[in-house]
Amino acid sequence: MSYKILIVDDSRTTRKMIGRSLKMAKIPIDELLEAENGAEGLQVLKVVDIDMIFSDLNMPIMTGFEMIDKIKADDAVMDIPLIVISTEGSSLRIAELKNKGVDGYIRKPFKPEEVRDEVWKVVKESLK
Amino acid sequence: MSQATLDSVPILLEVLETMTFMSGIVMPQDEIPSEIPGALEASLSFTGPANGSVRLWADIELLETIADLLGDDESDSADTLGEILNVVTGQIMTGLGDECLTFDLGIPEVVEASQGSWLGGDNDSVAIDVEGMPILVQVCLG
Repeated sequence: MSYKILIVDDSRTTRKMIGRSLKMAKIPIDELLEAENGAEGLQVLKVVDIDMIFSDLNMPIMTGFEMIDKIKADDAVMDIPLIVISTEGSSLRIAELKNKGVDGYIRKPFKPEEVRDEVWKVVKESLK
Repeated sequence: MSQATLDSVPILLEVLETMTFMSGIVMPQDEIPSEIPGALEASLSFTGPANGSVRLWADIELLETIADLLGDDESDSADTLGEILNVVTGQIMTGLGDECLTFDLGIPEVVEASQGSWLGGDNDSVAIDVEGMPILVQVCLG
């Protein structure tokens, strides 16, 4: 299986770094889509069948937290595996994300192998 | 020189190493350049158990080099500097207290730097030489 992956981050630099990490990790990719904030991410989800989402938290217009709340309240997309990549270091906020149903968390700055390991962990969990 | 600025130096070095595989060395204070052609300045504030702001100044040539290393064929130097600042500030906030504490982070603002704005007065910036190109950091708390 190859994956349609959505990357939501207001930084173009980070979107490219995540995409490059996925390719370096030999994750089978069908299509990489990008969005600059949560609102754009939700628009993509309406028109493309996405297999996995990477999202930042701190973004203008709509934060990652707001986007995650909307995704988890929508039956059509709530089960898409979602990995947060953020500078957030608070254990309380990370626990809050897990409670919301987020599948994985990677802290910036990240190494490509962290992306690879988190993706395969999430894929294995989704196959159980 | 504030302790907060000094404490940010190893954080900036580690972030550069992890994100770009580039290493740097702290420049002596008397060797900090007063002019950096085309320099950009980024600032980011945070609130919470402690309030403050972090500023970075960087040589545009360094930012273009980093974008090239990241394989970005349509490099955006302002975005690159803003994201480095974002990551550095996140790490600085973690160092300010218990990991249970929560902070709110703003959005990085990047502008063309006014020459020498990193020198003198309260601007106690530290400069790091990254392969001959400077990047400077300053942290203000309170």
